[in-house]
Amino acid sequence: MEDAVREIVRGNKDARQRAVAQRMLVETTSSVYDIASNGDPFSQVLDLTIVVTLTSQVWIDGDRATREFGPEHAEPMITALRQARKEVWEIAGKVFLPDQLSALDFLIAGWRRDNPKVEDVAYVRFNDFAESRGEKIVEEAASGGGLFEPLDKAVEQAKNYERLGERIFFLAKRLPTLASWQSEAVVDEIIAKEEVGRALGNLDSVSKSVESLSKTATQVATDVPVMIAKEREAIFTEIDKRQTAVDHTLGEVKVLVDATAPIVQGVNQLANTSERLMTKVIELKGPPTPVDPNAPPAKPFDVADYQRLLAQASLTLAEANKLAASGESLAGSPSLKGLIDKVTDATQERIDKLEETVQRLIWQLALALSAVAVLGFLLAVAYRETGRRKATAAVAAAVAGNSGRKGA
Amino acid sequence: MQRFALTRREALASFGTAFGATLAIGAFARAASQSEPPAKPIDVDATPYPAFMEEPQLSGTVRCVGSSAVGLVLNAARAGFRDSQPNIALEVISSGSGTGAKALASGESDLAPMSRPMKKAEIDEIEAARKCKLEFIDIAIDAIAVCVQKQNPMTRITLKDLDRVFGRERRRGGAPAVTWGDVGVQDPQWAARTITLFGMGADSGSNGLVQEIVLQGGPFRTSVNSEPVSSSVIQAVATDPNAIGYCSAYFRASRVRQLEIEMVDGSGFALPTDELVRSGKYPLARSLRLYFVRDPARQSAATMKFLEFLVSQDGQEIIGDLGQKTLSPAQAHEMTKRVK
Repeated sequence: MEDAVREIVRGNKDARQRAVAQRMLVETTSSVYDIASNGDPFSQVLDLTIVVTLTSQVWIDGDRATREFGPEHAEPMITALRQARKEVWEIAGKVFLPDQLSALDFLIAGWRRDNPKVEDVAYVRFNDFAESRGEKIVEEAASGGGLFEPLDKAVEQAKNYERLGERIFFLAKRLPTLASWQSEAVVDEIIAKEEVGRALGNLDSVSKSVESLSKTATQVATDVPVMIAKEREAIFTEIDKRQTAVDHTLGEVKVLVDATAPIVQGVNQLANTSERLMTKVIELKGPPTPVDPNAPPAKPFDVADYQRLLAQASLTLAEANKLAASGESLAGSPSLKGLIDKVTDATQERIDKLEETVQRLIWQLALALSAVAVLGFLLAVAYRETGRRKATAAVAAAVAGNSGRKGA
Repeated sequence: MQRFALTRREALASFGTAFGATLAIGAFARAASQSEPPAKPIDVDATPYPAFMEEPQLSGTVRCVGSSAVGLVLNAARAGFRDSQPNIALEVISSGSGTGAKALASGESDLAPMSRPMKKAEIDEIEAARKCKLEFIDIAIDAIAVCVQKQNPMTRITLKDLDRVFGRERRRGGAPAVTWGDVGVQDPQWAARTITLFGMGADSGSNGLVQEIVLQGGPFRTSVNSEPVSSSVIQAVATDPNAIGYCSAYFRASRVRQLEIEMVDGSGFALPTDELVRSGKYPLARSLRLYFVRDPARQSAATMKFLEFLVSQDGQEIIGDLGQKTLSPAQAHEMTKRVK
């Protein structure tokens, strides 16, 4: 049995399986020593037969060995128990008559039927059968008669085994071994406890985390530069693509602005002129309509606004480029991934903003040009009106001169 | 005190109602009785076993010489019987059925426990010697099961195949069956495997029964591994996937399955259920029997009292505890009549 348990325990990482095997060994052996310390050799053989038979029935017939240790670890236990059972019945066969053997077999099976869920059978004794079936048989045997009445021959055989065992020496010699097994069983049982298992599991998971971290670090050292390069490339490609589009738009805007610069200049001059003209017109027309003194003064049209917008657009692009460039310095950062995401988001935001700004700029330019056109039209109308009035005034003056000359 | 009085009209009305109701109930009862199926015969198996009467208290010795299988039962019953009849001593010598007939004939015993029916020559010898009619009662039924491991694809077997598997001479005919394929297993994973044989010791009742019924008296193969008791056979089969074994039907294990055996009347295959065993249809079963003579010169009253105890409720409980198949209550009543 010891060899079988050693085989189960050796290299077995399952603390529970180790504990179960050790406990089984300890209990069975303790029980056998307990039986061996019984003074009556007949009872010794009877109880030994019962314990070994029940133990083998639980572990083999009841399939507990396979349940506890799995098919790969159960085999040594099954083989050992089968062998132990054969040996004990051989001994019993030398002590008991065939009828007694058969009766004992039925009594054991009857007890098993009455207690199908009991698996700790190491301390079941013949007298316990009285509580189950065969009360009369046990009672009879206890009074030294009946079916299990020991015959002279049987007693002599049992005494032979007793002498062979040399009980005291037997126990004294094996107690340290038993104690050793006991301690091993206790250790495995402690390890197999849920709380301890959980704590060990946590330690295991910490170790695993550390191991995983170290693996990750190694992997980061290898993979991250590649990843950064890819991300950078993707970012720059995107920025290049956007920048090309923006540059193109800005180029168009610039051309437009360049093209409209003389016009704007002309418009400014025209505006100045028209202001002067309007002043003249107002002077001609009479006093102006009273203006609300609390009203804020209207902002004069200034193309510099649009130039500032363009400067802002350029600045945005420059910032985007700067951010993208700063991505290169992130290569060694441990929180690289998060930063890369931030960079990507920020870049995208800037690009979006830039696009929005350019769109607004173009829209404002269009509005300005429309305003210039409307203003030109109004100036033309005003000019014509002024000319007409001047002509009317000249005609009136001429008419008045002619009348004076006629009157003189 | 209020007086309840009925007018004539009310009395007539009440009488009429009661009469009508009576007629209606009577008609309904008649209809119901006509529609009832015919009464079933009484299920004698549901009746209890005969109660053992402790009185009168007797004294004497009852000597039993014969079968060890029956001797086991007698020994087991000893304590229970002594509680009721403390002055009757019981002597049991288990030396085989053959010796039982001789001991009964010579008057050395009062009872001959037998695990087989007595032969005519034996009966004649006893009746001639004792100058009495030989009688018997059955006290239990010994059933044997044939079992294999659970994953074995085989589920049933004929007596002839069992003889081919276990018998050296194969008196039922056919070639020796050495592999599972030889007994009809088709599964290629099993067909070529050699069958491992497990049985009981030569002195056991189970061995004798299989030898008598399956091998028709022929010898067992030498390759049969002999186990001391039934539970050892079960465990041997449980640990060897190629094994087949026979043992008392009482023993079971989660890794082992009993095979259905060809029934006596050829009507199919069956497991050793109580019903089929008691009815005699299951072939691997035998009555555990006690032969006796009513000899006035011996204390036959004490012998009869012991026999009465064995087939009583108390006696059958003890037999059941031993894992033997008990008699049905009807059979027990029948046996009780024989010993009165």
